[in-house]
Amino acid sequence: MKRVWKFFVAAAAALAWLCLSIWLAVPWVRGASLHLPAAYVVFAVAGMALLPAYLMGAMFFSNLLHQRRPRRFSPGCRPVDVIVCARNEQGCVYDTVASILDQAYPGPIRVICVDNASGDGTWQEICRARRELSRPGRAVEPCRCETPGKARALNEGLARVISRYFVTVDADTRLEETALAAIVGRIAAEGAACVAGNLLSAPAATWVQKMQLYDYLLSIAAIKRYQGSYDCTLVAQGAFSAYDTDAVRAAGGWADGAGEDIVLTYKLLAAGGRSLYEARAVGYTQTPATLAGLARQRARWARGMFEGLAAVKPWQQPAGFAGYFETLNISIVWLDMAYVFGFLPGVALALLGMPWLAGWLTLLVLPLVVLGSASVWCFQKRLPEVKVRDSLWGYLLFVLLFQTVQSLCSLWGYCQALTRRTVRWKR
Amino acid sequence: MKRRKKRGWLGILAYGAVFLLSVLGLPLLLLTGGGPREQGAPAGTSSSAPAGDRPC
Repeated sequence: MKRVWKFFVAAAAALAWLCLSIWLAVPWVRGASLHLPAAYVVFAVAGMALLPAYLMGAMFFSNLLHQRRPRRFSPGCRPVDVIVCARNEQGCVYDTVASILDQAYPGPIRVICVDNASGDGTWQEICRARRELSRPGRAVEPCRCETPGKARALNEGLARVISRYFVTVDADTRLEETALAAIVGRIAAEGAACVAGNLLSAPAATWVQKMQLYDYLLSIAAIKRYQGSYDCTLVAQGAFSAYDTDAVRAAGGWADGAGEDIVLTYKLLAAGGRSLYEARAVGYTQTPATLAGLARQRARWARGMFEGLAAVKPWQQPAGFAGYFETLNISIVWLDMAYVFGFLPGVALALLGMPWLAGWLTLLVLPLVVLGSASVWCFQKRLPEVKVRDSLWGYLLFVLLFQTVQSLCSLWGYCQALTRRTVRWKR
Repeated sequence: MKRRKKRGWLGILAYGAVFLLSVLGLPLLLLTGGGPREQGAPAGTSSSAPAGDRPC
């Protein structure tokens, strides 16, 4: 079936689901309106039940239509440059460079390792990596960027890139041994502007990380696969993505801000480029270990979304799908507000014996969540490159708690974006 | 170039329609008395209480 038809079939199925949800919500809204202002009830129900019904439905049906295991592309002997930016990463930058140079990649690899004004021994570790790991076909080029800021460090690396395609990898991200071949093979075969890798969480130690294990494995991967099916992955994350060097230079490289990778992807799409997702290019990134760290990260991501929207408006996108997904992103703000100001007070009211906005019937959503999770989990687990150790506690926390954390932090990020607070990459 | 820009608008229109349906569908159904009929609702609930006699 053609791509466009798959999109419309999924959207039509989700629309039918939305109409059924609206019809079923009428007695709920009517009952809640007896106790609460009707406008507030409609705002809450639309944002916490109806819009999610469409969004989750469209993604679920679309991914079902794209359930086939993707084939691997070969990069040939194509040389590739990999940019690794590090700021205060002395504990992990050596191992990251080693994992890149040990890739099962047939062509030459050159790691451009940028130390971004670190205050620890990061620079010494990068130099040690060059001394100990360089060999024929595998090179390390250390360089320094004295001005703090991830975008600046990335641009410093970009200035040194000489290969047709290049890859960015975060200093705390380890690649599965065939990941580089998979992502470079894909971008070269398809001639895309960028390809996002399948970024997963590194083994989790704390409950906060266990929860994120499933955010990466199920949520983020599902959204990227959905958007990537239509050549419009909205974020080719800096932690692990491949780029067309000329396209990135033409877009002006990375812009300073909270979401430099989001802005760049939007610009590449606006220039008529395609942004893909490669499920077989797997990387494992260190996720925040504490709630405070997670809150900072998610608030930054939320700000990044606004920066992307400010840089390229939906109507400036040449592809209809890009305009669609960008517009859809704006409505996520409503979802977060409805969750925080509708669902959470609703649960509190229910616990006090007033099940007006949430009640026992709300639990009926859980089987649907499990069904959606299972479909993505099955897809991911069929890929031999994906090696994630499951955690039942992690999944339960993800289902029951993660959205609360995510929505609260996102709202904080939206407020930061509105008040234009300055961004710091790392302390 | 002009034709390329129009496609972004198509995406906005497509999702805008879904968004409006989500947000306005409910009030419309409420105003027109749509939705599933409530069977045997107890006294004082939405389907049986007269307009001026609703519990607050």
